[in-house]
Amino acid sequence: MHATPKDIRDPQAGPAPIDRKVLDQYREIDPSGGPGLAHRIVRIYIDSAAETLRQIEQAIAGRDPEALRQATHSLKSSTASIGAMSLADLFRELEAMAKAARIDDAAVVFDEARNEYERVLVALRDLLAEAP
Amino acid sequence: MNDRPWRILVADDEPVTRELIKAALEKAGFQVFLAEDGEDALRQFSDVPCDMVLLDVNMPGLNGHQVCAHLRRQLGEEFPIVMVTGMDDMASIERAFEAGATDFIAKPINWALIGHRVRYLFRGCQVLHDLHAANRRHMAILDALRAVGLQLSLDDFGTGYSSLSYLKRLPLNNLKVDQSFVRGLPDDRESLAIVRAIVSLAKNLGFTVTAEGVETADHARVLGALDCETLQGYFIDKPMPAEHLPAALTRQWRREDLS
Repeated sequence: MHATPKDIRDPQAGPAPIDRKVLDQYREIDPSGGPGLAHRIVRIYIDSAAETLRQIEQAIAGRDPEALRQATHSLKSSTASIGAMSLADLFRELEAMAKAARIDDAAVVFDEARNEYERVLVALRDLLAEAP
Repeated sequence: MNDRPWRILVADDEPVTRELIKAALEKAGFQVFLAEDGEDALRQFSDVPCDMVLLDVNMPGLNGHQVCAHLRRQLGEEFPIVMVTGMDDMASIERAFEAGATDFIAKPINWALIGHRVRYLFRGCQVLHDLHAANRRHMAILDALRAVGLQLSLDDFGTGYSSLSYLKRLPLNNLKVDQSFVRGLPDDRESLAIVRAIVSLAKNLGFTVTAEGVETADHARVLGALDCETLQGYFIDKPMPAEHLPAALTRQWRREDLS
């Protein structure tokens, strides 16, 4: 797969939001060996992550550690599956804070996660716009 | 199992993982059904019986452990139930086995390997199933032999394949002490201790005891003193054709009359 501008590291923007190698490995289990499965996975992620993000926001506002844990656990795993490693790390941190009922700390990390999520979304939409 | 592809029910509340597991298992030739949570898994399983269930541990509502325990009660011990759980979560892996899981697959999932892993699990379950079926068949044969009046002995006890667990599982009448323990009698202390222990074990379990490889009068004397009631070996007689047996027995009785 060729490098896109998003893959080129910009010191201002930090590391690339998406590790393309993670998505590339899905060619091995794609029925036709192409990027179709990876694109489907990305679309599923875009469709489902927004709702889970809303659940996280509500759990923090309602100070509900168990709801926060469940939502961050689920989003951590799917975020890692689409190769957004920095964002997955933030959700992992949030999950640990939920287990420790550290809601105020979680609110701070969540702001960071939301910014990173926006970067990830842009990268994912760029990826989908590429010819399959 | 028959010719249709093996069916696997995958329960995971997280849609990305669910879709990836489905793709990987279909690539490996399995037919995959998806459930969105624990309740959905139980519902779907009652609609379309599958050959294996893969359960995410962390699901809202009924979690993977609860679904696993429920299916295990319903399906018996042989049915393959696999938990999918984080590498970092040892407690959940231990709970999975308590709930009756057959095995676990660690997250992050290795997509190139999961199909092979599942195939090996199926093979293992099939072997275990065949083994249980063979054991049941063999026990039925042993019971039938006893029912027609035959006595069952466990040969070469104390060596090779003769395990203590057979004493519990098999419908035995008699234990035969392996000749390697008899050979050292009466001088070898270890042999003496082992034979004494085997005789005592047999008596406690209600079996008779036969010593193998009895070759000298010393062997016979010590074994008699140890309360071993039957002897086998060259000291008694060599193996012989059946038609020579009456004469040999007569000789034996005469010898006992003299002593």
